[in-house]
Amino acid sequence: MDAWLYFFRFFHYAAALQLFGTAVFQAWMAPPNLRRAMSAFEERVALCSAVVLLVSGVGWLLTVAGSMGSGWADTINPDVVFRVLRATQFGQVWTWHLAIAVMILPATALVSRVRMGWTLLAILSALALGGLGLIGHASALDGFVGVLNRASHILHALSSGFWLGSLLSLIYVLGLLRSSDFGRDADMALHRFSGLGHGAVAIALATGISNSWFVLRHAELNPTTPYQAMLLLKILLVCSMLVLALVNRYVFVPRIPNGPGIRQLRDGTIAEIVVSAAILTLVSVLGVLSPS
Amino acid sequence: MTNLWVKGYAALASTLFVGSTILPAYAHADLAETVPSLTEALTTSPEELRLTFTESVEIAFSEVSIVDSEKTEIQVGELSLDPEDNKTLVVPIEVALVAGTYTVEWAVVSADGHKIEGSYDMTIAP
Repeated sequence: MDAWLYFFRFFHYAAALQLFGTAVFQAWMAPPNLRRAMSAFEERVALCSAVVLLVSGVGWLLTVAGSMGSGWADTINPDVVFRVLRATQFGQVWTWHLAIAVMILPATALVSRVRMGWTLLAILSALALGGLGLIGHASALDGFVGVLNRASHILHALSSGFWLGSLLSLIYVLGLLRSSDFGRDADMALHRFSGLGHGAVAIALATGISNSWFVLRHAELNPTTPYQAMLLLKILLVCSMLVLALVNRYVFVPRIPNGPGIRQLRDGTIAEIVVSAAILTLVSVLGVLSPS
Repeated sequence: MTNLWVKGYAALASTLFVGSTILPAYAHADLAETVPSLTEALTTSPEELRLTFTESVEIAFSEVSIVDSEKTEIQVGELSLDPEDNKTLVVPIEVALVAGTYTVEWAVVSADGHKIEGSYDMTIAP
C-alpha cells in the first residue's frame, strides 16, 4: 500500500506544482499579448494538471484510509473514509484541499473567458499547493514551533512551485523569442521570471534547510537510515538544480542575442525539469518515512 | 552533453521510484511513557492506563486491548485523549484485574498520519 501512497503523492505534488507555476506565469509573468498567444497551450497544461490533482488527491485519501484502517478493504469502506475526513488532522486539511481541487476544474476551463481568470487560478492553486504544507511531517509538531514548521513547509511548497512549475512555460516562451510578433514580450517574460526566480530559489533553499531542521532536530543523525540517505540525495539534486539554474541564467541567457543561447537554455531547462522529477520522487517517499 | 544529463537524470528518477517502492515504512511516533509504568510492581488493579506518545495521536484510529495469559480479552472503556495533552491516550479499565500477567496491545495513528502499533506486559502480584 505504501507504493501506492508514493505513487499518488508523486503525481499530486507534480500536478499542484505545475498548476501553480503555469497560473503564476500566465497571470504575472506574461504580458497580455504573450498571454493570449500561450493561452491554448497553457490551458491544456492547466486542465491536465487539474484532473491529475483531483484524481491523485482522491487516490491519496483512499490509500490513507486503508493505511489508517485495516488495509485494502478499508480504502473503499465509506465509514473509514469519512472517519478519516471527519476526525483526523489529515482529513480536516484534505476536506478543504479536495474542495479546492474540485473548484480548480471549472476555473481552468474559464481562465481565458473571464477577466482575471489566470489570477483566480493562481490563487486557488496556491491554496491547493500551500495546503500540502499542513500535512505529514509538517503537522507533527504542536504550539508555536508547529506554526513555524507549517509556515516553513507552505513557503517551501509555494517557492518551489514557482521555480519548478514555471519551467514548462519558460520552454514555450523560448520558442517565441525570435518571433516578430511576440519576441519583445517573450523577452520581458523571461526577464521577469529570472528576477522573481532569484527570490523563489532563495526562499526554497532557506525553507528547505529549516524544514529539515524541524524534522531532524531531535533525531539521531545517521545517513545510513533510509530517510536521511534520501534527504542527502535530495540535497545533492537540489544543488545540481541550483548549478543548472545559474548556468542557464548567467551563461546561456547572455548568449541569446546572437548565439546558440536559446537552444542551450531550452536544453538546460529540460534538464532542470528532469532533475525536479527526481526530487519530487524523493519528496513523495520522504513524507512517508520516519526521519530516524 | 545536455542530452546525457537528461538521460542520466531520467534513469536516476526511474531507479529512485522503483527502489523507493520496496522501502519499509518506519514508525514516526513511538510510545514514550505509560502509567502504570513498565517497571512498576502492581499490587492492585489500576483503574485506567495512560499511554503517552512522542507525538499527538488521532483518537478516531486508536485502539487498545488488554489480554490475559489465557488470551482472553479484558473489557476496557471508551478511549479518550487527556484534555491537557493530546499525546496521552487514557484507557479506562471497567473490571478489576485479578493477579496475573496481562499484555497491553496498542495501535494508534500519529498526527502525521502514520499507523504505529506495539505491546507491553503488565503484571499484578498482590
